[in-house]
Amino acid sequence: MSVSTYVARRLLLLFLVLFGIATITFFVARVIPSDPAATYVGGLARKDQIETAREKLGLNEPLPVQFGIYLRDLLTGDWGTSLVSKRPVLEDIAHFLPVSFQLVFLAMAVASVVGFILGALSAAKKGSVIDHGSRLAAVVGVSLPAFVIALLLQVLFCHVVPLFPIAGKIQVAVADQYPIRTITGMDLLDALLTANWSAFASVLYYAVLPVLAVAAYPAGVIQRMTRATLTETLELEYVRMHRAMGLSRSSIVSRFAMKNALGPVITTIGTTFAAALVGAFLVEIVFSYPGIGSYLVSGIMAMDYPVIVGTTLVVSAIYVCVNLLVDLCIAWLDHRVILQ
Amino acid sequence: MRLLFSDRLACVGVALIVVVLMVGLLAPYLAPYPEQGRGQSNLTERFEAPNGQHLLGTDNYGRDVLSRIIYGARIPLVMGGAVLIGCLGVGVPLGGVAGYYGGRVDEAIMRVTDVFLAFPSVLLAIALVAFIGPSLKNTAIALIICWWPWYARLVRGITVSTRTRQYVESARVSGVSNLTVVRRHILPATIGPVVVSASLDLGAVIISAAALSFIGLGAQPPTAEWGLMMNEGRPYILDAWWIATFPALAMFVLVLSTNLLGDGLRDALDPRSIR
Repeated sequence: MSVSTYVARRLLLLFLVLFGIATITFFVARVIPSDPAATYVGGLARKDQIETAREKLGLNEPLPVQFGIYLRDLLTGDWGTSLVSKRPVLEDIAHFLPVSFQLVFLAMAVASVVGFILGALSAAKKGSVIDHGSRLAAVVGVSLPAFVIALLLQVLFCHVVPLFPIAGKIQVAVADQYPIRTITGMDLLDALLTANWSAFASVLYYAVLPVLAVAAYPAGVIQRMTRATLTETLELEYVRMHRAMGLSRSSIVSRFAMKNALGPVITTIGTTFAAALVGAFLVEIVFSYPGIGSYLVSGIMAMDYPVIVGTTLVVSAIYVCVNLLVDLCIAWLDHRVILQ
Repeated sequence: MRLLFSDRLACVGVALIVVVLMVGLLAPYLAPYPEQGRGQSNLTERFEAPNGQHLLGTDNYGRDVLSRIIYGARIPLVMGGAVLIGCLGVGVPLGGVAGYYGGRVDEAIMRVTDVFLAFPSVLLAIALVAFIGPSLKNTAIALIICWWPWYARLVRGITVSTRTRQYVESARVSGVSNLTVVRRHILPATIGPVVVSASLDLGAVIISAAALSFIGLGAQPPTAEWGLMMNEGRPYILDAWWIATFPALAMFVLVLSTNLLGDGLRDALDPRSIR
């Protein structure tokens, strides 16, 4: 299959996914509550207010017509207005999404480096104390949900050893004195681009704990993958030959086996990226980090229907796209991979 | 089975799961303050640090954290079991039908699973519960809606490969009814992989359910549920760290043990996997 057909097929799947989510959320939101209009205006509303809301939401139309209108609005970019912030949902999402992206990108960078190094050490010194320690760390990283790690980090580094701030994304005084000019919406990048070093340092400092919490799971998975592929490579014929020629296990790992291990490890980085995106949601809540996860949860608390649907659609779309990019990257790196 | 029990870590996992189950079952007898485990508040003893009377301290309503953790042990495994059984209930028949009959039915069911598998299921579960209304039951329903496609896929794959085996074909040729072929030959082949897959998923389901409770969508106060307890303790993390920390540790131990069991089962059934 050619790359363009493959991409076209995957984009069709993306469309189906979005259609599926829109359909499910529409029917769940419109059919299950006995009176969506009453839910919309709140519990204490008068009869005539409910009637007005029903008219406004188009609930007097037959269900298929309502669904048609709903889909048309979604396609034309009218995703509704948040009931809480009173701003268009798409605008809100554009504001909060980069914050989450920044968190996930930083976390993945940390996870890739740490996971790879730990995995390589583990494979090079198999059976040693280092190996056991590194494997234990990986199991802990994989077993602890991100929001649990976030809480434990808060206890450790905000209470026991107060090193890091407990909440927020920048020190208020710094943000007042050195405001970050928005270019990409990612504070760290914006501060860097405008050479705003004080803000840069503050954002970075506030990001340390959230990043660690998000990074733990991917780091654990990457460690396991690196260790497994390196160990497998070390059993290969040509590696044994180098051993026989007197090279140490460590130098074989660093000189030859690393290259072979890169492919599967990159795949793992890609697949865990998507998991990290969802993990970041809960971590944001723990650290009151103003990203898309905090936005979604505040929407849930307020029964802010357009916010819930909009966020779910956007994040799912990103998830599907990230997975597509990962698959393309892998095919590009390794010509033995066949796209299908 | 023997292989599984030769794996020491898997044994530890099984033992810990059994402990959590027993603790949950015997909660009324084990908990030092059973009525507080069930949610009764005790406002005169709020925010007490761990001491002789309250080994793990008390929470913002003065309830004994240890008792609540013990009562909380009742939820995750029941929840995980219920969700997985629900997923099997939906996924196995649909996957079986898709694999056995093939053709258009297969195509339709598989395209639906494609859509479900393409995006983070927890996210859809969150959105669904937000609409249906927060409760443990709705959390379970939402997780089943989002998780069954994995099992449909798995069962379909096995069914397709089993159906073309000679012994199945000869049974069909000799006039055995479809139902009997499925019951005698196809279902037994799916059991092993489905069990392994379910045990590997158990931890993930427990985490997802706790995560939903953590953002206020699952268990509702005053239920003792670990995710909810972490959320309730979160505002006091600096002054009363024990409220959120101990449920977090309990969660960690349980998920770790389900992962150990899952890894052990996989290793025991797949000799090629690396130890």
